[in-house]
Amino acid sequence: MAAIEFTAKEIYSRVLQAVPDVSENYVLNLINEALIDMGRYTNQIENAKTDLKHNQLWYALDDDEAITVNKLFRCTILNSDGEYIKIPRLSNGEIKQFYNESNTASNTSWTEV
Amino acid sequence: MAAVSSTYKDPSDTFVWWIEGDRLAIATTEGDGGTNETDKGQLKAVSLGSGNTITDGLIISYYAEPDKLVSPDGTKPAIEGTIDIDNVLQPALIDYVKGKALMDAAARAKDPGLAQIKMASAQQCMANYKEAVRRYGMKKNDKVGGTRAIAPVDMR
Repeated sequence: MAAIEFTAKEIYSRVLQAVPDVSENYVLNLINEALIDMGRYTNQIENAKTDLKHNQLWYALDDDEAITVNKLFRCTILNSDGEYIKIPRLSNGEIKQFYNESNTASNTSWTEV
Repeated sequence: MAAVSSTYKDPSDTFVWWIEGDRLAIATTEGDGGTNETDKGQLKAVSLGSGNTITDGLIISYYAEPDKLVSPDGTKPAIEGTIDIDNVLQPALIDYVKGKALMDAAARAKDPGLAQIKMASAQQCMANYKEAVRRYGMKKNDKVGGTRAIAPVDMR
């Protein structure tokens, strides 16, 4: 928790100085639009965890998951000593066996850490 | 579905990840799935025994989108919610909102002179926003600062 945290109401009061006749709902929509735009840049780094499941190759990263991922840069797997070890990225992203790609969203449950 | 403990000594040797569209793939050469393509040494999905899982077995790090502004406790209006970005980016957010609001106000204005003034203000706000977020966003909130020093090698 930051020492100072701005609420949308404070931003609304600032906007009213420039444009006096705008509604709260209109400013709220603009704030959410701004947050989506800011998400395109690498300003916020987060971590999330999920269960490793038998015979599941795909883990969903869709926007309707509990987390919103713009760019993934590190994956770690729990080892037998309880430590999370970084694993490498497979550059060509190809393995011989085909795995069904449907229903990954309902099979994955992310929690922010 | 049973939770099992991890038996992987060093996953960095046997696991890989990659991205395909909106999905993350995790494959491993560990374990034997019972076919030529799923036996030990082949890249395949994690093999833990039918229905088994490793609780919190995977952690990812990622560049995230800020959370949507919602009601702080479910009862208060969303306008009273706090915003999920670093404090240093708050002025940029104000610039964005003011810029877009002024653009819309300029479009509504009946007086062309007033519209022009509002449009000029909007463009200034958007220029401030772009500079703050696109050019300096990462530098402002990376929490790395202060003087640097080089520790010289001890030649004795």
